[in-house]
Amino acid sequence: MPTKVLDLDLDQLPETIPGLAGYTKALALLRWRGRPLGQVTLEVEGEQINRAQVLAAISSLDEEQDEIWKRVDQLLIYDYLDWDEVDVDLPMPGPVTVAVCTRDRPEDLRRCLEAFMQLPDDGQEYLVIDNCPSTNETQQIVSAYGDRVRYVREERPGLDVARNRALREARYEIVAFNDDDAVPDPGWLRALVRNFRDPSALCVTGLTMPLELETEAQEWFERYSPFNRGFKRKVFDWEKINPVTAVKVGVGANMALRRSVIDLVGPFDEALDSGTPTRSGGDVEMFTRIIRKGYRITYDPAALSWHRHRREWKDLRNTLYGYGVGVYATFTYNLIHEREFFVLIEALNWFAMVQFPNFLRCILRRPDCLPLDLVLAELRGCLAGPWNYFRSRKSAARKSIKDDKHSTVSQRSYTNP
Amino acid sequence: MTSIQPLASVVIPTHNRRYSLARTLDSLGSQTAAPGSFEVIVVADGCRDGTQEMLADYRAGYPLVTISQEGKGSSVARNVGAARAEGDLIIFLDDDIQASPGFIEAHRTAHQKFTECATIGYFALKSEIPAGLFRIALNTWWEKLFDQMREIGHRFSCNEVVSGNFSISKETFRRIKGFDPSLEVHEDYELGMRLIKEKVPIVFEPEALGYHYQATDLKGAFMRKFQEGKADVMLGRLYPELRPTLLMNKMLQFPGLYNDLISGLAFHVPLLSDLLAKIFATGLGILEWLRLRWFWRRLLDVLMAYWYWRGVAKEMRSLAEVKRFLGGPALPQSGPEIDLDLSIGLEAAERLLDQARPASVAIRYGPHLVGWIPAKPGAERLRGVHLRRILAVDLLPAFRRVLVQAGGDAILGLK
Repeated sequence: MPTKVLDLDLDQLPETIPGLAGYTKALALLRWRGRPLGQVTLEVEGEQINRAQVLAAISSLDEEQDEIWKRVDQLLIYDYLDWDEVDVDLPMPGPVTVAVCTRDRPEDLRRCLEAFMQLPDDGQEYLVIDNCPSTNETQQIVSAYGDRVRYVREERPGLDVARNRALREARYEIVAFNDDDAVPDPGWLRALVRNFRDPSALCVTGLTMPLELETEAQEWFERYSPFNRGFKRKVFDWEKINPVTAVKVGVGANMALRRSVIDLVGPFDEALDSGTPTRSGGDVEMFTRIIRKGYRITYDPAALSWHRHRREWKDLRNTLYGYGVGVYATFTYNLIHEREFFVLIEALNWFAMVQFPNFLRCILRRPDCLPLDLVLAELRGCLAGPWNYFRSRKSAARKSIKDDKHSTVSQRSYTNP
Repeated sequence: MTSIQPLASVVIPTHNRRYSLARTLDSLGSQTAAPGSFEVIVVADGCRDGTQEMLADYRAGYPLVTISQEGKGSSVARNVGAARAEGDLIIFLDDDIQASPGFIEAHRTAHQKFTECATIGYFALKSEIPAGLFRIALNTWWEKLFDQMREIGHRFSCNEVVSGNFSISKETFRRIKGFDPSLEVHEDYELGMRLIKEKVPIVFEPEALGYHYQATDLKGAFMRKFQEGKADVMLGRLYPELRPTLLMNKMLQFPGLYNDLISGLAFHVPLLSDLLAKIFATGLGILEWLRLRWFWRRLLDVLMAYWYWRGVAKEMRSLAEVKRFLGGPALPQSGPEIDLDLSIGLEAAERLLDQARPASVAIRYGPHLVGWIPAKPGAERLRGVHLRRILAVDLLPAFRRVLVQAGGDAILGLK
């Protein structure tokens, strides 16, 4: 039975939440006057959930319940004092570019663009990078928005290729990325951008919640590999975390970067992520590099976006396989090129604390254990990771040589007409 | 610009950095401030590298005054430059800082907002040392200094006053009698101490931006730490109330072998331990090669602590003497200077703080006590702008409790 995703504000908690026919459970995001506080799982009784259930669910959280009420107190006082949590005495950055990289997902993109139109207008530019499309459908969808959304076609496949293109095309210094299958909350952009008042923040990430949990595949994804990085704002740098553990700072589906990142730490690694043999990891590798080079990444849960996880089981299996590949591909890169020996400890830790226990629970048929095919898919991905990385590196290098040749040829023909 | 701008005098002390100085002077040639609205005074202090010749040939698009003196130190140079200033506003700028185009204008605007203040500008680091962990660590440390100053309602301490990018009215500078020439480093902290005693508000101005080209390597940083050790003792002698805030006191708060060992080495076998420190410093390179950042950071801390204690040992004979020095006469802890009742409204309470400028305050809401902020040695007296930070950060749980007692949740707009 599917799980209903609810969005509840504790300041305006209704007596009953009706209309939950067909659901046995609900996952509720709790907010206080718009600001995310935490989440609870609720049982649906008689097609509805009532207020008391929500409050009881909060009380049954272990340490988090204190956190939630403390946070409400804190926000109350902040409102009373007109106090800004990102308490820096600096002007807000100017307008920003909002970019979405997409490839043949017209339905998702349409929903994403609709959500963009709900964002308050601070003069931001919208940019769609259409990555190696097989049809013109994306272009047609974008053209319906006229001047409000700019369309750029990038023929070379690869999410990181598209991200780099977005950074190059962007009109403004700050570029906020939202995945095509994610729907930003109306407060998303402002919440991200306010963190850029810190001149050392090269990247800001936000909270990503599931848009729907309608299928088993989506429920398992949310349970096993959620995008949620918690409900506390955090500032990361090299003194706080080891760069190779940068996966905990956020996800590429909901992040913003300064364009100067290209000069300061380099562009996204085009041998990584979707569209290449490494399948994922481009965002995490970028986070790793930002931390390694001494800059800051801020995670701010107020920057909320809703991500539609894959609905089909085989897509989920593919996704988890892809994560395995991506993580081990970036591990390989970091170990070989950056001498990050800590990668070995990370890999061992992941295997000993997560992957192997999951595998064991499957074999022992423990209740609620992760389905075996998912466990195996991820492990297979990990094994394939290093090899796929080298393959991807090689083909990326070949492509760039080809590109260089093209550009030299065109330059020559330009100078010698 | 039609309004008449008060003249600003940019005072640059310099010592054997002709190329860097030229870059600074160039940057002052492309200011948004009108060319006639400022002058530049360079005080060449014991220069032997052809600085004077460079200055003689330099064609500035603004009035440039050059003064030469035999190496008397940067404090004397700043005082001499300030004495020659024609402007009402003095902007001290170091010779290794490149000013952004809006630099002078931003300093001037900052002073228009207050009847009297001292303004610290922001300068971003442009390291000229090789890329590596040390450069990253230096940058991180540097940005953290400014992080605090950027906070809304930050209560400034004297050790945040940095003279490299700093402005003050000539009148105030004269009144507090300029920099103390007896200090080699931390002369700016000492000036900050007197500014704070005179109740001059200290403000941070991010728009008064400069780029600090710095070439301090690891060895230079150890040297600097050594000088800081010496300077801290001198500051503690000048201002006994600052002793609890000195780094040596904070270090000794951590009981155990660690500091006793490091300081013991520094005090008793400096020659041997200098050698040891040099050997360990090479260990930093190995740790960095292995990407063991955490260990690298700890080792750097140990080495910095060592060189700090070596500096302290130049001024004191033993750790026992340091402990006597820090333990000195206990400072009288008086009660809060004023009582602030928040039920008069936040704005009114802020105005009250601005008028009274108390060193310490008891905060209440009607009859209920929220808490009190004690006097903080070396920190500026309270201003209105500090109030919200105190309530939102320092006294939050108590404040919430009191608000509920005082008026129920209605005050907070709860149903």
